[in-house]
Amino acid sequence: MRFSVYSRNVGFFGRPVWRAIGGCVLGLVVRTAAAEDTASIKGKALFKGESAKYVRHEVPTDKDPNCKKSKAKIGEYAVILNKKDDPITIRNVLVSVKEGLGDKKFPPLTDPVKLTQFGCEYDPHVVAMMSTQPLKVFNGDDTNHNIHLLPAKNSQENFSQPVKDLEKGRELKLVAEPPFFVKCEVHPWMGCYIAVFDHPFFAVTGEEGTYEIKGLPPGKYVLEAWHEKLGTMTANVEVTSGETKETDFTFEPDKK
Amino acid sequence: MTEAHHHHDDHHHHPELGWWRKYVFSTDHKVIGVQYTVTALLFLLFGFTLVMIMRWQLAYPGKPIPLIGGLLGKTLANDGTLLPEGYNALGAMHGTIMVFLGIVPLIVGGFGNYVMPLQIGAPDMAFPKLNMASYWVYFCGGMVMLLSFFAPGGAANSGWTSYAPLSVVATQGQTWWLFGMVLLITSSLLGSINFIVTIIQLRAKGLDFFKLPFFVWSQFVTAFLLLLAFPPLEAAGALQLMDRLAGTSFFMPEGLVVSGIVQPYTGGGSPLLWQHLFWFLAHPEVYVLILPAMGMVAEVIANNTRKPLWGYRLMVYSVIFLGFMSFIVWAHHMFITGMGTRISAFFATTTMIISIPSVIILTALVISLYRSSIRYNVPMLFALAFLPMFAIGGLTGLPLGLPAADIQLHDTYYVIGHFHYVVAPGTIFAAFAGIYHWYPKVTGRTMNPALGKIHFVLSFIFINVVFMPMFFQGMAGVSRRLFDQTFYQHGLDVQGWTQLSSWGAWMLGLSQVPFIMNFFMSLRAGRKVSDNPWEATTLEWAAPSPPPHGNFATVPVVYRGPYEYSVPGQKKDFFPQHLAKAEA
Amino acid sequence: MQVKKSWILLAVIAAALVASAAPAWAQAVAPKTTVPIDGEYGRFFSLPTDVSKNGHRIDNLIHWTHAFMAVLFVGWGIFFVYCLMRFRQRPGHQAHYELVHAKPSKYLEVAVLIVEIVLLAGFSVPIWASVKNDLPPADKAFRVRVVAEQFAWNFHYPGPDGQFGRTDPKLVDTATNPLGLDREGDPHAKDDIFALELHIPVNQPVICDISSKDVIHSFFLPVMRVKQDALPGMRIPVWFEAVQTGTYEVACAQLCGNNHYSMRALMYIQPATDLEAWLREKGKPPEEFVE
Repeated sequence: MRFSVYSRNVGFFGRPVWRAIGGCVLGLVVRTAAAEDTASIKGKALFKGESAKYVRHEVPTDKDPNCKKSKAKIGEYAVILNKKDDPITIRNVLVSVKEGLGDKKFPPLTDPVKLTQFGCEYDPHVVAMMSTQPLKVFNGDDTNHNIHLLPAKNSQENFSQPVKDLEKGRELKLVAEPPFFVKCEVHPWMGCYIAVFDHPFFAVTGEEGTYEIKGLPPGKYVLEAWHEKLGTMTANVEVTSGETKETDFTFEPDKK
Repeated sequence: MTEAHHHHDDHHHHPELGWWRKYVFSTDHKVIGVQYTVTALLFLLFGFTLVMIMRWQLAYPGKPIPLIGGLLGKTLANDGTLLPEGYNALGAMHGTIMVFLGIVPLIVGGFGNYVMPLQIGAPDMAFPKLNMASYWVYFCGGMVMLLSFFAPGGAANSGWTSYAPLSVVATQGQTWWLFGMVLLITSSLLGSINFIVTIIQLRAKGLDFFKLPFFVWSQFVTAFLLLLAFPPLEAAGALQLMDRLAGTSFFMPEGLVVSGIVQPYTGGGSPLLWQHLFWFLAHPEVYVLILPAMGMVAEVIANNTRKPLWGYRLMVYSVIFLGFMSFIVWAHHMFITGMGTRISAFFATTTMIISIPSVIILTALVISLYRSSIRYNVPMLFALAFLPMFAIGGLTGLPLGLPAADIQLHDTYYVIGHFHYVVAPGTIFAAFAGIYHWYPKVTGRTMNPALGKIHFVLSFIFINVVFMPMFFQGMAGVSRRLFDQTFYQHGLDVQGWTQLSSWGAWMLGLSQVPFIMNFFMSLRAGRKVSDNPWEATTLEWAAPSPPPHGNFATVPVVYRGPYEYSVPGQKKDFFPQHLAKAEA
Repeated sequence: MQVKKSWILLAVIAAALVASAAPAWAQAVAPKTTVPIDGEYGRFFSLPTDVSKNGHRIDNLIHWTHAFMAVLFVGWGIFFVYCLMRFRQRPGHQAHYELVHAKPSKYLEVAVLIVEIVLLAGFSVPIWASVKNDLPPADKAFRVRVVAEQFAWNFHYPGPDGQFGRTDPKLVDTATNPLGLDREGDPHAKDDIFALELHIPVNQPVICDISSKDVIHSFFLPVMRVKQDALPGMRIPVWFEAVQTGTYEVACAQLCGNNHYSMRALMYIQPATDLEAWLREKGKPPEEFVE
């Protein structure tokens, strides 16, 4: 596990010379901080209720003909349900450790997190990252994009990317903050969320509606699952060393 | 005039001042005038540099700016390529710097301060310390504007007009802009009071109002415009600051949703209120930009035609009328905000009326050339070029003043072309004429005429290359303030003109090199000349060059009008105002 | 002679400078728009194509005004250049102290005033009155609400019931409900259609109600000779009638923020049947989408 943490280093400490030294030092730190064996939690985000309410329709990309290649759908597009699954699973649910880590410090993740605008859509739709990681924003379209971050704690970045740029990107530094909305000022349908954590224990459900959090020290935790439209849920989990626990979250938006 | 006399005596008893009091914190109108001129010229150069950067993006959108692209920082540019936010910040600051920090301080603060007291035979301004305060407040305002580039989010980027609600929700630079503006307005108010009192109280014996040089008249009317038009903007600026900082809603209507977030403004403010307050200043401000320029051109033309100005009184009445009318035309900037027929017809009518005195002044200046003897020196070349350039600027105002034609042309490049023709080859050429004309008075040396002529020819060619294409773009429907006009088909089709215009701007920048060289080299190397090298008639030429503290060796007395050239029966072709009898 | 030679030299230098710049400025810029736009756009001091019923009146006013300006400038310029050449300082030439009685100048000023009155009262005011104030009767016109926001044009069609639904800023959701339509609470809102492109019928008056969600924008249809500021807190109607089908541009003419320049929308002028088909298509309830 600790090697997977270490191998994410690609910044200054990722240089070959430092890798040798840093690897030893970091290895020691990780060894003491996270004990010999760690646990994992994995599971699914499930949906129960009237799935027919959540439909997606075409983005009116004619505003900007350069968005034509977009596959994005407008409407309740933020709620992406895998309706073929049984039970129905949900994409873009952010699962993270909310309580139980105490004051422990964890080896920082430093590899940049990518947020790409492609086909007038944000990829990924929910960005989860550690505060030590830089966020790099790219523009993959032949059009103008304007990224507007609407956070409470971080600064309200609002900048344009008028030309296609998939190489350099624009780098941002963020502090820990619960998910906040990011929108494109030029293409009203474009939106995504960014969540920043002080620890590396978070995951977002992907195309299968599953998540996995690895490398947790054994202990009692409160997990939180967050979805932009469906709200939040919590679960109490206890893990021992070497264990992989399964925890599913079932959202029932109609039950209230 | 005993008062003037007292002042005069006082100055003689002053002990020798230290270097700081003499050259930096001076109360001498001449030192302050030079301070204003030099500061304003530096700001003009800076403002012009901003636009040369912008013109790169306009001509070659999305390409990195050569040479200085890397210096622009992260907020304005990305890897040397200008960003829209950078473009807007440069655009807003170009307008603000050119108008409030460049041209007005140059032609009012600089020329007004230096030349006006000399022309009326006064030893200094009426309130010398106020005068000094005026300069230093202006200086601080300028510094605030410059520092605002380093504010988070960059300098103000809502245009020099700062229309609410955009300016209220804009980045921090706007707050700096408002503070800077409050300082600049305060400076103008201090200056204008001083000008008015000086012109009324400190005229030399025998100098009636209708013997005043036309330049003094233009400064007199300008001072009233500044005094009466700026307070509404100062108030509006304070209100906008309140909207930004204290959450009031003077200019913010209810129910605004900015970036998807419902704004907390309640109480039903009006964004149009800002526009009314702003243009109530900014239209008279247009005449603040042009009247002193007309004054300078009149001085230079009278002197170099060796003939009295044609229709001097008519010109004076026209300039007073212009000043008065400039207060009731402001809403012609707002025709397409949703005006009804009656109100737009009213403002269109006043706009047509105000064009008449401008036509009169221009015609008078041209008729002054008739049966004259034109001396083609450098100041005269600039003054003559002013006439057709100002004519183009003025005439193109006509379709903009007709509300129906304005529907198509409003806020397009046509407007940019129009007012730049008034201000750039208009006012700035007049200012060049003034600099070449009065340089011998300030330094005792002339500027090099050969370099001056090179400067003139190149400037005249390239300034037209810059601004003429803008009319073509405007007719094609290209809106102003576009970061990249090729986004639109109609912008793409006239992109060639944009590129030509940009090249004109950079060449125009190069054309200023001979001027800058000339300006500094002539301080030492310029030909030494007598007190009255142009053989002029007005009082400033009766003082030594450069004039000492207190200006005149003996208090001048005025016997005749300002432009007594080629008086029949005289030996010389000029008859100065202060001479009782013609020289033998 | 010395002077003349140096002037020629200067002219040569200037010409060389211009010539050196020429190849550089002729560089082409690739178009950013992928949908072909109809119409001709002025390349040399000409207005864009006019596809509206009223536009020619505005065009005529602009042309007549420019003709008047040209006459004034040329006439005045001839006199100016004549003076410059005829009255230059030279040995044996002296200025005259006496001022001429320039009656022509008075005539000129009176003539300018008269022409301006004619242009204003005879053309501008009537045109303004009809294009800005005389809205066509509501039952004959096709009505669209135009809601500007940073940096997009939202178009709101009333749907089959012909009634616009209630909107509320509190209901605004940037992705799903940019207009803040009250689809639950107001029956008129149920069938309302929202689009980011403007579809209008040909040969039928169109009334656009212009408003804004945030800052001041300006609704500009260059080929229609229509421009109207979009002011937050106000809803201002403008009307026009298209006489030709095609695809054209909607531009924003008022600085509205950083991306003002990319606030562009497309306008489709269609025969009534095509427009109805498009509206029907747009008004369909969204189909369930199964991944």
